[in-house]
Amino acid sequence: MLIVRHTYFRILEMLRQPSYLVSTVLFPSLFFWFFAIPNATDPGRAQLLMGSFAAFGVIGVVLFQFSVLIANEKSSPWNSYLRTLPIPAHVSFVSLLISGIFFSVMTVGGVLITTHLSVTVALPGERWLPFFCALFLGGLPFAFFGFFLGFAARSRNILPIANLVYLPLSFAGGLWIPPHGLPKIVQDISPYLPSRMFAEIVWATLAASELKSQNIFGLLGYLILFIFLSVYFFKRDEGQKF
Amino acid sequence: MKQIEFIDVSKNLSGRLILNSLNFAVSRGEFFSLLGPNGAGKSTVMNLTLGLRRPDSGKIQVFGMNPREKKVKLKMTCTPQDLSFPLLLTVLETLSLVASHYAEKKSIEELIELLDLKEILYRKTGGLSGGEKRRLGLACALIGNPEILILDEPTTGMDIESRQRLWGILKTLSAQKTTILLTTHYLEEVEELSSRVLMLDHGKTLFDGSVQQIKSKVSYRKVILKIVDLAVPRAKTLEHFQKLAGTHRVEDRDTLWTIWTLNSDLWLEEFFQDPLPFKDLIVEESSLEEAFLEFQKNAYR
Repeated sequence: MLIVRHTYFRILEMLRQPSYLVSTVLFPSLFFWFFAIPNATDPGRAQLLMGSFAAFGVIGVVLFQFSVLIANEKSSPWNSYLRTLPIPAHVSFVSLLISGIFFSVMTVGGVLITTHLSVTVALPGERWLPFFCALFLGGLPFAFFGFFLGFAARSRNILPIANLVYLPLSFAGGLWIPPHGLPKIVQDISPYLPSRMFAEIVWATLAASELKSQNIFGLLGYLILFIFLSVYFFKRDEGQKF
Repeated sequence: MKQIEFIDVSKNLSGRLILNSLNFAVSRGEFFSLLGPNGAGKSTVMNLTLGLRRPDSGKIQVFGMNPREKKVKLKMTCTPQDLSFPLLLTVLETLSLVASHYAEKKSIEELIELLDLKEILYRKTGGLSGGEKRRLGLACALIGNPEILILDEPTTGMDIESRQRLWGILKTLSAQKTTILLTTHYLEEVEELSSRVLMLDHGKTLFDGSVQQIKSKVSYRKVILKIVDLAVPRAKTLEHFQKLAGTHRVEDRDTLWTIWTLNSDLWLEEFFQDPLPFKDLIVEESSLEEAFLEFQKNAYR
């Protein structure tokens, strides 16, 4: 019940921030409109571009929202006040995760609606579930990347840091333009980036092609690394303050 | 029964010793005020009591348990620090969120009435004035029906009417045996409300007792009179008062003179042997504020 209340009020607060809704929830749809539609020359390409921008939207919500929210909340006196209430430690964390899923669904929904209105996609019914699962599971390393940045950075620095991570990572991962269109040096680095591994998994589910083990294990490696870093910086932060 | 207990508690923050083997206990129903200059350790005592910090050494118990226990948090509440609330939630939403943490709680309607929140109920907390935030903070603290209430400068920024109303609420709570731990800059508030005062300085206890005990320890009385012969130079009047036996300190503001003395009867007897022309003579007890300042001075002599 407490998780529901905290999640409800967290989502309510976010919905009341037009700047957040535009920058995080609407941007992927707008980017799809500008960058993807001109390149969606056939249903197959449109499908892959839809997957790219849906993944871009998920990364935006979980990495950007979690890092900025955590960095701001950890130094907020309201957060200290919440610690005086009879509230289990996991409630705040779980409510943050659920709100992330909520806004990811909104963002991906926006991309899907834009796709439906602007291009032709012929994705068979049975491919939608693997596609959504890939988005959800592939988004987890970025969620913990967001936690790590949020616990490691100060609130006044987090916005530029989050932007510096989120935007280049999306570009270099081939989420805005296909990997073969990237500059040579970026093409060389791209396969090692978590965003590219995420994109490869999403594209594979959409195209019903085989998932490559290096992408699955690579992303799993990043997940473990970011969990470790999140826990380390969380404990450091707790130790300093409390 | 002891509800809050500090046993040899020391705490360093950023390499500075904030609390130095502090010992005190607060019993059920006490109205306990913490006094001391900035940096004396008052906020650290509050944070340790609330479980927001851990002591470096020593032990803190609330209801005989670690302050971080859920059972403690259900019965001990406070106002939010710096009166920071979620800026985009309304007053009602904020109260509703806080209320959801308690099984035995006051009704929101009762608090709206008690703290005059009706007018601001649907306003976002980001747009509230300082006084309105204080009222909301207090509502957050009261909603859990606490046995221990911790208040950090609850009336700063409040108008006189709101302050009087709050004093009434706190007196009622105290009469109902709620233990109250208070810090404030208004010493008249301490004098009006507290059953016990702990004076801190450099993380140590300077004094622990009732307001009356502080005042009796520093038992100066004030003789206040108005000199009417303006032809007498100020320096001469000052010298006249300073020469009188029993004069501890002399202050003047225009023609109004205040003389601190330990024995006002003896002082007056001497004064009347060769009085300066005066009118409106009154004798007063020192206020708590004066006693507090005097007590601090004496402590360092």
